[in-house]
Amino acid sequence: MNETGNLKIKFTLNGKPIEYMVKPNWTLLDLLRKELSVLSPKEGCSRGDCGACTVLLNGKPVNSCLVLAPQIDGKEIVTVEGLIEDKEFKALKETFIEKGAVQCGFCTPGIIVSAVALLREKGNPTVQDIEEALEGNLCRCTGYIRIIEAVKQAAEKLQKTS
Amino acid sequence: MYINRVNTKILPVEFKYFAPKTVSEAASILNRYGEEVRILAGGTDLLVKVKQRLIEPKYILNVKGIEELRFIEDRSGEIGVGAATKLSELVGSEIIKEKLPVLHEAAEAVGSVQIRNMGTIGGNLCNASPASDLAPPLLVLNTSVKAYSSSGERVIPLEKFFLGPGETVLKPDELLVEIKIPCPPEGTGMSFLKVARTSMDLAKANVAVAIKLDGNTVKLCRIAMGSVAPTPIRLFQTEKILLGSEFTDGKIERAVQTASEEIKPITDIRSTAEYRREVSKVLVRRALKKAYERVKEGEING
Amino acid sequence: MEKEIVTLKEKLNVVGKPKRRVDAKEKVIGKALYVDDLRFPGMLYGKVKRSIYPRARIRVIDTSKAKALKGVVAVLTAKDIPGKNMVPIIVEDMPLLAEREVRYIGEALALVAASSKRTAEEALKLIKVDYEPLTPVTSPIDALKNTSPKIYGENNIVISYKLRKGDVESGFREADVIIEREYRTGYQEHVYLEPQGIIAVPGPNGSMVIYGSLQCPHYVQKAVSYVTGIGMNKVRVVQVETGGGFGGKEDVPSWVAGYTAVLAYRTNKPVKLIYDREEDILSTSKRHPAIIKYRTGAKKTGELTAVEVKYILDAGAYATLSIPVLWRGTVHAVGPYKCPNIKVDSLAVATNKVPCGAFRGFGTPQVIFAHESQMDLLAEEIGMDPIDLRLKNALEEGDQTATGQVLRESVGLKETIRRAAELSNWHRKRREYSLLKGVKRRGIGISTVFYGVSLGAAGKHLDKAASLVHVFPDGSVVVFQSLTEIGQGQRTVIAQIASESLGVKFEDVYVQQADTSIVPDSGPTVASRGTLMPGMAVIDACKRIKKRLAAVAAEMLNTTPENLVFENGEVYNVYKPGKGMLFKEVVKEAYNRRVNLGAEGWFEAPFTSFNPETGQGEPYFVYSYATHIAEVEVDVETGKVDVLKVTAVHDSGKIINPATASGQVEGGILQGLGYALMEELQEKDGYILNPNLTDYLIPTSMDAPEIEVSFVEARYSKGPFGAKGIGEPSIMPTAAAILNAVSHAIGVRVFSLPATPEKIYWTIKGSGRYT
Repeated sequence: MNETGNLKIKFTLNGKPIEYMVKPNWTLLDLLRKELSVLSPKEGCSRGDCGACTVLLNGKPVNSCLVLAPQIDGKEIVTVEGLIEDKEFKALKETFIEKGAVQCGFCTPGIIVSAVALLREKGNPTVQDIEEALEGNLCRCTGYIRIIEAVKQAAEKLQKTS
Repeated sequence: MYINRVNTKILPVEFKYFAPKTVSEAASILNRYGEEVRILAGGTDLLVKVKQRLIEPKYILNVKGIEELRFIEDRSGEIGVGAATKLSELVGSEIIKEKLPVLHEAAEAVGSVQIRNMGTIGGNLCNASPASDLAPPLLVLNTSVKAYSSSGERVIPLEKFFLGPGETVLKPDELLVEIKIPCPPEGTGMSFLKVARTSMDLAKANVAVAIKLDGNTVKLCRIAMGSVAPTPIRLFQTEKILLGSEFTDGKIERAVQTASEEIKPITDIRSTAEYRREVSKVLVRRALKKAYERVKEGEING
Repeated sequence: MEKEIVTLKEKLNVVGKPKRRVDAKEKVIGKALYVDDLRFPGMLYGKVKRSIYPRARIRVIDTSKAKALKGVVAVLTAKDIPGKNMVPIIVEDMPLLAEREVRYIGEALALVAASSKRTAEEALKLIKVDYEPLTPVTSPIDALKNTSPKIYGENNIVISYKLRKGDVESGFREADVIIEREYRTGYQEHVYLEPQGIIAVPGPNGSMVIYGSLQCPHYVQKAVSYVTGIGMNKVRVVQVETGGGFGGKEDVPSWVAGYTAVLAYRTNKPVKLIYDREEDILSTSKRHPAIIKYRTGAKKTGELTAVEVKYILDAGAYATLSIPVLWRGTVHAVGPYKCPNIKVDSLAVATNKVPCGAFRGFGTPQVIFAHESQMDLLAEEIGMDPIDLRLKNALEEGDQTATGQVLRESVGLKETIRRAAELSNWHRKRREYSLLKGVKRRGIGISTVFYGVSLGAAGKHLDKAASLVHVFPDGSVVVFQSLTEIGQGQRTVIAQIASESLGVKFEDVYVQQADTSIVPDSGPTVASRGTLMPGMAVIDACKRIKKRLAAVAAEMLNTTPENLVFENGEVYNVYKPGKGMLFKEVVKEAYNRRVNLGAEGWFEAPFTSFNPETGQGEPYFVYSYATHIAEVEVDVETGKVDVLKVTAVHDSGKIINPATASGQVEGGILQGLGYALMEELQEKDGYILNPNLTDYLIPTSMDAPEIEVSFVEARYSKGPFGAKGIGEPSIMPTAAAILNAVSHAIGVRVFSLPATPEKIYWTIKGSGRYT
């Protein structure tokens, strides 16, 4: 910490090590969007209700609007930008497009992040598992039906290939 | 007045940030800055309040990086849980699932996956929300908590821990370090139930029950509720109705009636006091029956 | 031979297929850019200072301290507005910034532009407003009293309508049964996931470009021109990816853009203004709360003899869109039923609360809740099945609506009812659920609606659409049109229409997002007109190009243009299939021959009319129809409802894309479920008590019921490939169907929305049935 209270933190973002001087009152979402131009996490409510800002922190989905930037010192952060080559992501990408699980798209990156975490944890999730995993990601367009189906299908695809 | 409380997307105040690695380091920071420090043990509540300027801390002390506060230990007869243990770790813990299934259920009922990945058991308790989902099961488990400060440590029964909404008995220099949960005696049946508008929502009311029978006589009975008083509460009067008597529908109904008289619900944005009182009856009745079923299941399986 | 050609040409290759959305990939990989994702050099951040009183005189606004703050570039009040201090919507009653009086909590008073969001926020706190609080009027019933302070015009009535047909008094005399009830509905907040946001960028020669999250670029263009004084020719509005609208980005972006443009004008810098969620909920329009008094008369055989409705909307402080909302509600007040004697009186009443405006359904879900509850009460009273009662009265071709309009074509209503009944196993479940005892009771309920597609007689002057289509020498096609993609799949559907019309591959068509500098004013993206209106304009442009290409191709293929088929990127003689050419070969030849490969398309809405004295006429040129059947389980001890399944059958004419159309219906159903059961914006004395998503709850993944969607495709001859509209009918029947199911389950009826567990609990309790 320097005299202004700013802190230098080290973390990995989408696999890349980063050192950055942050102010304590930046949220992780501020850091990603404003400072690092990582734009896939969206700001929908700023208080952990909507899930549009969901990112993976050490592999677990969190609301980046409720994490202080200095909290990620020494941690791994992954956003959709860092998932492009990931096998769960690729399966989800296909089924989300195929099923029409996307409408306005504002909630989509957050939902994809939550779904990737679910598929890594549970290879063969039930509909109930999927509904619970996505409970913290609001979507106002789709009615969730196609999203749930897309996640289910992606899981099935992955099961077949593995 | 409401308009001035709006969330501004930003944390509008400047503060210094500490992330100590040990409890004693944390304690010395608390000792030094006292009331000007806010402890971040999850952030899901604290940061929302800061964003709304409901609180304006000068220092934020993040305790989530203190490894010695993150554990779930099975010590014969007692489960010890470190205060910075995440809710998702509670949900995922085999020890909790096996020994304290009611706590597992309650932890699962808190918020969303994201919230459970951020929130901690200590944060949930120190937040002292009357609607806490963890408090009722911990109360019926006769939990006590350990607080640490530079001048020493003390153990506080959870019943005595909450003072009011957002208020606990912790002194400004004290840090909650451990939650000590006695394992219920063999054959205890427990249940947790919650009424909310959606699964994500805070409880309109919640309840936890622990009972143990000898034959059909109630040998142990603990009932706790949330969202029906300024703090989560044990329903001692209600428990007395059942304790030592036969577990019958008649007794249950008397207990239910007593519970509805014992609680002190208020009207707020989620519910009216009247409805809370009514639905509390349903919750207590159902939770008692569910706990009873579990006692019986245990007898069959055990 | 002639007939065979027609059949061949009617074979559709792209339209009617569940084509993948053109925007899905960008959105999934996180590359789609929304307004808050954009940045411009030197950009400032805007903020709005808002009223904390529902009604007060403004004595002084002192901005001196805010102006002195480091990093603050401008602090503006009404007097700094370069153009008119007025947001042009339908009537001009709403200033951009309040000058002498504030009329609702959250009304804008002053604007700040600063180098950072944080500084702008700090500056807001430094603006001191000296208010003289006045007694607010916060209920429409109070506002109508003689003793009420006059807060709007002479009588606080923003607008009123009437509809008169036959003679209701004699209709009620003829009736064997009369049902009379009062219904109430609450606010509904849109909760588009992306809050409102605009960036205004000043350009050369006094021009201004607006980038924004919006539904109606031409409205925004007009508003920006108004408040800045810049000619419309120098205001360009570009819609960027928009995170949901549902009506909430119909009129509101006009003032969000107004604030931003004024700041950009005064600072001569790009300015970004993004609302916080709380600010959005507090200050932007919502679905109107309503009071509906409904009286229905019928024969004991079920025929309606008379309907009398009094419909009151709580408009809030300014008119915004209350005028067309109330009009649509009035026209739809009787539902899709035949009835000879009708009297509807409707009022939108001003209150000192946030102005209400457009929300999917536009004044109809409130009256639908009433008329569909009435139908069930009537069915119960005369001992008839609710489906049979509806079938008995449902409109079909040749019937007259409440406004005396004779329906000449495309009336799939009865088929939606029959099919929904069949798909849901209505008769069996209705019987079985009635027999259930115990704590968890089940019910099944129906609701049936009609919906006048597009703007109708009230918005006649806006009901037109333009398109611009260019074919390039490589055979690829770009389509410009001016209605917006807000999540519904509009660009995908337009691409399908263009692809089918030109006979090119779907993948070869690119649809640009709306830009006012390219396409003439095509009216708003509202009223479920996003397929029909621009679709027809696109077909018009494609036809022109195709005609020119056909002349070239006919020569190349040694035949006449009438014999040509354009299909799937190929052009061939209908009599010699398999021996054609590629579309791009024809285009290349045409290009070399200097044929114009671009065309403008135009479409004017068909005839509509409305007599203001009687409400009679042809208010809309065509109607969509829908029936929803909901199944619920009610915990009678807590009042909690689980919606198990919704069966939705829609007649929206030809379905251009079954996947996006089903997506609309599914989303509409969830929004309707929220409206029915959980979404409750709590207001007290003009204060909104739960302006956030912690306390205002919308359905989550855990609340999604099973949904079965089916389409009855009663084609409309003047729509693109027979299409009508789907966006709004998706939500309209849901809440009423759920409430009818709840009432079937518990044996008593809830007369207000939302039917929260608590409300249901007390209703059951009051019935004495379970105590």
